[in-house]
Amino acid sequence: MVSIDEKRYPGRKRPPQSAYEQRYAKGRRTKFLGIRGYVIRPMWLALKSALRATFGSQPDVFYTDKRGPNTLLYPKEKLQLPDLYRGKNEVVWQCCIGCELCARICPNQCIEMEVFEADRVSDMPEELLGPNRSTQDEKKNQIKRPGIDFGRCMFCGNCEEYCPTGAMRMTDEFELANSSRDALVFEAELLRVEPYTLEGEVKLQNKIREIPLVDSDNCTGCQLCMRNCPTRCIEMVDGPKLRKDKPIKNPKVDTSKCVGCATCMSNCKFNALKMEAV
Amino acid sequence: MDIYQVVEAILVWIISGLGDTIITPLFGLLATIIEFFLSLIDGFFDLFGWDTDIVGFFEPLTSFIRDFTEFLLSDTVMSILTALVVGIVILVLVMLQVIIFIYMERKIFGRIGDRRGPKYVGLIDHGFLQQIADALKLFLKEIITPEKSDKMLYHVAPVILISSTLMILAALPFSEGFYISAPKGGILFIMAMFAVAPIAILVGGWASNNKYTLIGGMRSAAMMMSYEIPLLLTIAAVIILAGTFDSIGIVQAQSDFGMWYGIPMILGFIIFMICIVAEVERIPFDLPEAEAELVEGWTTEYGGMRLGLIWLTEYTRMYCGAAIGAILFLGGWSGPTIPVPGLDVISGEIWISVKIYIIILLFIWIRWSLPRVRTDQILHFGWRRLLPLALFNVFIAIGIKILGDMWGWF
Repeated sequence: MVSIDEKRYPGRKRPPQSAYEQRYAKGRRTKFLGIRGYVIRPMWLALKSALRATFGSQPDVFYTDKRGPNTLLYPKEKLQLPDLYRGKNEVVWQCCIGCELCARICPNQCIEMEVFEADRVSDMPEELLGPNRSTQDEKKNQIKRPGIDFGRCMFCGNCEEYCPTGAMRMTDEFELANSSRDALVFEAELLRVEPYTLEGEVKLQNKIREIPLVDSDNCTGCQLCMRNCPTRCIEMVDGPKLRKDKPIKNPKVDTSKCVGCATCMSNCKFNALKMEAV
Repeated sequence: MDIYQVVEAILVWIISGLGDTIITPLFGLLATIIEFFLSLIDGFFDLFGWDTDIVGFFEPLTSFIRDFTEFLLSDTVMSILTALVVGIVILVLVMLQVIIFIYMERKIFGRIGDRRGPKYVGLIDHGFLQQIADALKLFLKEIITPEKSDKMLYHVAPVILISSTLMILAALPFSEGFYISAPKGGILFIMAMFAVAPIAILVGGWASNNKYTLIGGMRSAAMMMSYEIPLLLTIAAVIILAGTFDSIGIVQAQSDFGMWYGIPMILGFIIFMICIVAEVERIPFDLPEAEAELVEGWTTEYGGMRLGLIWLTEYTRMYCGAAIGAILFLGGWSGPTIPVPGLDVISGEIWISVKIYIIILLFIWIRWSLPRVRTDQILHFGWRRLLPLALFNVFIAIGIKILGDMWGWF
């Protein structure tokens, strides 16, 4: 007997069926009909389900055949969350360098940086010192730390992914429901996690893979970029342009330390810097 | 256990105990007060010179009040009182068991559906009081009558359903002595009362003036004939074997036969179970109340405790159906006497309860396993499968009867 496909497309063979198609083409459903398929089999399945739900030996393990009922008594029992679950954020203040990359990368723009007065270097134990500008530079004792409005957050995890030091992390906590929207705005202090022990030196990773490029036509050598860089990776060197017969100092980026946070670009008043993908 | 004797003994004990301490002094005082006022009226008439004997005229009344305890303890009054109390006791017992069935149903449904069932409302964290909470919720609801409904029929339909169901209990024996009444035609009466329900459903569905309720009522009337005839034919087979319409006589005949009727007539028992599921309108034959197709079937427009009573009635019908199944096919209350002091008296009631509970577990298991059939499917199934098989079952019963008479089985 000629199938419809062969009539329509003579000489062409059907592609081989997938395992899923094969299973249903063979007719798993048509295998059991009549009193066996409509009475005995459903009743047997119901009995099996009832026995498993009643006498299941492992009530807290899911997705197995030996578990108890499929429902959880929620306030008493909680679901086992996967390792990569994205819940409420937390920020390791000691690790955070205040680069604002999380605020820049956030799709919903729900992260805002707050400014704090920081302690001096001399007040801190040395092993806790991170690559924090405020703790490294005694001249400047201001730090910026992120606060998050969870009413707008969509838990995409970009902030965790792009954080150059791993200070921003997402926890398993998901019980954020509240009756007012204001209570969903978590200030920086609420996200703070301490104490935190650094294992060696914090590695700075340029996860966004962008570095600033200097346009020496526009640069005036004002050093704003150097002062504001959170990792202090910018160094002023002699540029090609001259002013009063002296070369203008242009920024030079140490690419091993740059995290691509674009703080220099946003601070530049002459559009002399722009971010370029590496 | 002869419940009439027990209840009468308890009543006599209570009334005679109360008689000396409370009833006689109280009613004696009442009679004295009445006599005092009567003598006042007599004295008033004496002022006009009329010679009357009002106290003597009302002598029968006052003496009746004085002897009220003896009136209560007389045979006629005592038998009426006993019958009333027995009715109330059996009604309360059945209703308590119905509440247990609802709990069982919800819990087992939960487990079959891979859930836990009622959990939080209860004494020890198992949802025992969930039915009480639901009943309270239904009590607090407003009773709304649809504006364009047929008001009288709308209100009468649940009354027909509930009263006909409770009348089943009046003729249903739970042992040789544990019944409200055991008439000679008990099985006929019970099946007649069972068959009243589709009328109530049709009336209620029509009176609600709603397309879903009307379809539900019509479905009930349409499917009634298809399951009613095989059901009555299987019962006819049992009656041929037993030779009596009396429930107690049928159980006695089974113990004389030496075997439950469900064993030689396993075919009839299966047909009976299928038909009784259709009779009490449960899945897979709950066409009048098809939740997925018709909103809530014929009860769509009913609300509040009226709806709650309709649900309760459905479970009572389930209980009665299971009890009839136990009596006709599973030997009723016959079983070995339980050798425990205190329980040996009510061992018959315990055995029939065990059988009823097993049948009800089967009902619940069937309900949450099988899909609902269509109207044409139940008609096809009832007329073309169950009816010939039920007739064949009648032939089996006649054969057993003839051979038994020939070879002297019973």
